[in-house]
Amino acid sequence: MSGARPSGASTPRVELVLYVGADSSHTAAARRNCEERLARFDHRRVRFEVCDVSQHPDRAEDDGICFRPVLLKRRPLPRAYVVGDLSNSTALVDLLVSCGVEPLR
Amino acid sequence: MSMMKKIRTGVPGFDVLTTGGLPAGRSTLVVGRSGTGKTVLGLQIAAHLCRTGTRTIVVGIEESKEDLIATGDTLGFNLSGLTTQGLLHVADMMRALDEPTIISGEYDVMGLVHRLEHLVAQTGAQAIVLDSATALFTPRPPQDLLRSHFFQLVHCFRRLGLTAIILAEAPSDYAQLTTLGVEDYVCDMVVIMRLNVDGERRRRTIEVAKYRRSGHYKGEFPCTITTRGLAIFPLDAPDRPESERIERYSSGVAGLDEMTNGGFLRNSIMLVRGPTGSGKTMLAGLFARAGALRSERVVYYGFEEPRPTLIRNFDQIGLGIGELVRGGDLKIQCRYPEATSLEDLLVDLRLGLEEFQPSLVVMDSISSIEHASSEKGFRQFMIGVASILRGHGRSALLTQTVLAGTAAEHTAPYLSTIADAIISLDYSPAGYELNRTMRVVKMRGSAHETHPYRLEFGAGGLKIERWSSDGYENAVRAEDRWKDARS
Amino acid sequence: MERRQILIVDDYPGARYLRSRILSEAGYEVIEASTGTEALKLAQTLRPALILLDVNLPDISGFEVCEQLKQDPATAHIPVVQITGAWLSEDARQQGMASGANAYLVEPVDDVTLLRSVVMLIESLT
Repeated sequence: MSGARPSGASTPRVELVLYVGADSSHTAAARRNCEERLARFDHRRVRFEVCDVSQHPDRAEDDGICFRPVLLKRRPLPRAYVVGDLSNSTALVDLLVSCGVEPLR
Repeated sequence: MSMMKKIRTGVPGFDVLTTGGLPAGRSTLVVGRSGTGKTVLGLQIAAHLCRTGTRTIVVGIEESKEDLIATGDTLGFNLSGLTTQGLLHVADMMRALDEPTIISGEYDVMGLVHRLEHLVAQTGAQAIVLDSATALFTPRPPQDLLRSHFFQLVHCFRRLGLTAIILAEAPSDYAQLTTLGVEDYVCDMVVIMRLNVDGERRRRTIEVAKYRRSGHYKGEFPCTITTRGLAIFPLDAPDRPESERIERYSSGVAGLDEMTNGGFLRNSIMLVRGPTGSGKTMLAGLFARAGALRSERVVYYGFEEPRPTLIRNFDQIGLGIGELVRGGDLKIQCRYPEATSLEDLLVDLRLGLEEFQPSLVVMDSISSIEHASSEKGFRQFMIGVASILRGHGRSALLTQTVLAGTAAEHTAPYLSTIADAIISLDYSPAGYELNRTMRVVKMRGSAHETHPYRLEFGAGGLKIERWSSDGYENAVRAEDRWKDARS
Repeated sequence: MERRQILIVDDYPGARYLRSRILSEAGYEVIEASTGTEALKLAQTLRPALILLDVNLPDISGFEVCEQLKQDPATAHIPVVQITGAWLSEDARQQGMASGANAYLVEPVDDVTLLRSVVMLIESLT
């Protein structure tokens, strides 16, 4: 898509939640991969949080979480799930780009 | 074999097939192609468990909560009511079609596990139905990961003490069990549902393919889905005690106790076959006497001789039957099958047994009844007798007359089925004497001697002992000569 | 309201009588046959709602009768309940399954089981 995009308020923030478990090796890998990828994006455009499934099973219930780790794109709708430790690196980036968030130069 | 604790499902015929129901606290896999009725079975069992006080969670992955409850309500399971009462919890894990799931790397099923732990803690559920494992593991990970995930799930159920029913899709009716290919050995019981469509004919069947640490009926059985859910035929089956009591009691004849490795087994039906004069009635008398002396209640049905004659014959060999009858523990009833219809005889028997409540029953001899009726009538009668005997957990001894030299031959199939043990008595000439033999032809549930033993009549009744090897050889040769002479 | 018809096939009059009584008291109309041939004829002409078939018949075996019923498009849809005493015999059961029976009753048959089985099959959805 070409053309300047208005930044800030009018583009909705992407809300991401990474569901993890404290005790898993996948968890460490997922966090690392997420943080790495997200570092290349404007943090004002992306809201990212990590949620431990064992601590907040009710949230996991509400969000329909079965697997772990899983990255949930809560907003904008529709929701999308990326299951796994994100060792396949383009998934997160693709997700963000599809929401109109470009990587920082 | 340690007995597994089981939970009844209330599905007609299912608890028969599985000899008692689902393995408690373990996982059962129900496999079938789509449309074979897995979901119906799952919901039906869930409803029954709830109604009988076991809180249950149903996890739907392909169908929404509303759809599952609606399906159940159409079949009269009243899932909505059970949900309102807090006995049933339907958890919806459906992913909307426009919410994509992308797989990117390694993962486990702990997300679901934690949710279930939470749910179980909240609801106090003791059972769970998962519809279906196939849907849960879509998109499908590589085989080894899949195996590991499935195992984690089953392990979770086990840890939470849940009796679990896991539904899974099968690609075809008779080939590889499941699309996932791993579930069957991780679960304690595997049930297969099939739907054979052949033009006009639709036939549903169900099979218990495996039930760890439990007996079960093998092979496919017909079933149907009615307005009230699934039903499997036959709905009922003759009661076989699951754990057969291994209690033994003496036959009343020392050598015979040795041959049977300790005596007769409780709750079994013994058939004693032999030609006239081979000692059947005597054996029957000794059996009855031993029981009465142990203060058991014994009833002796005689169909051959009048009562006074029978008692006198026994007393002549010193059995003291008359006295035992006076004492009240032994009852002797003589009947004449020629003079009465078999239906009446059966009713008479049943009433008599209910009134007297014996633990041992003797019928001497069933051949008298056989000769007084048609083959079919006799068969029906014997099946009726077996049913009455088994229904009350009684031990019985039945005598049957056969031609000399034929006692070891094959019995009518239904009699073989009814008899738990078959003892044959026979004799053959040996010069001026008779070689009398007794042999345990079969004895369900026990080891036993297979060689014939030597029988002698003497004071006090029968004497049984092993042949010496020479003695046996001689007897066999004599018997062969006799048989050759006859043919 | 028209009463549903059930065909009872058994060569033993006692059994026919007993089952007939149970079923007519439950509101069904009962027709009886004592041979396989008679059973096939009646099934064809009357198209009963259900057939109770004893496997031991004098002319042709109950399994054979069942097979023929299921192969004839006119009678294939009628549920057939086989009555067998050979519950423990694997062979008999496989024969029964192969012949296309929809259900089994095991001798001796008690009233409640008979009625339940009949009702369930007549109410069968699929």
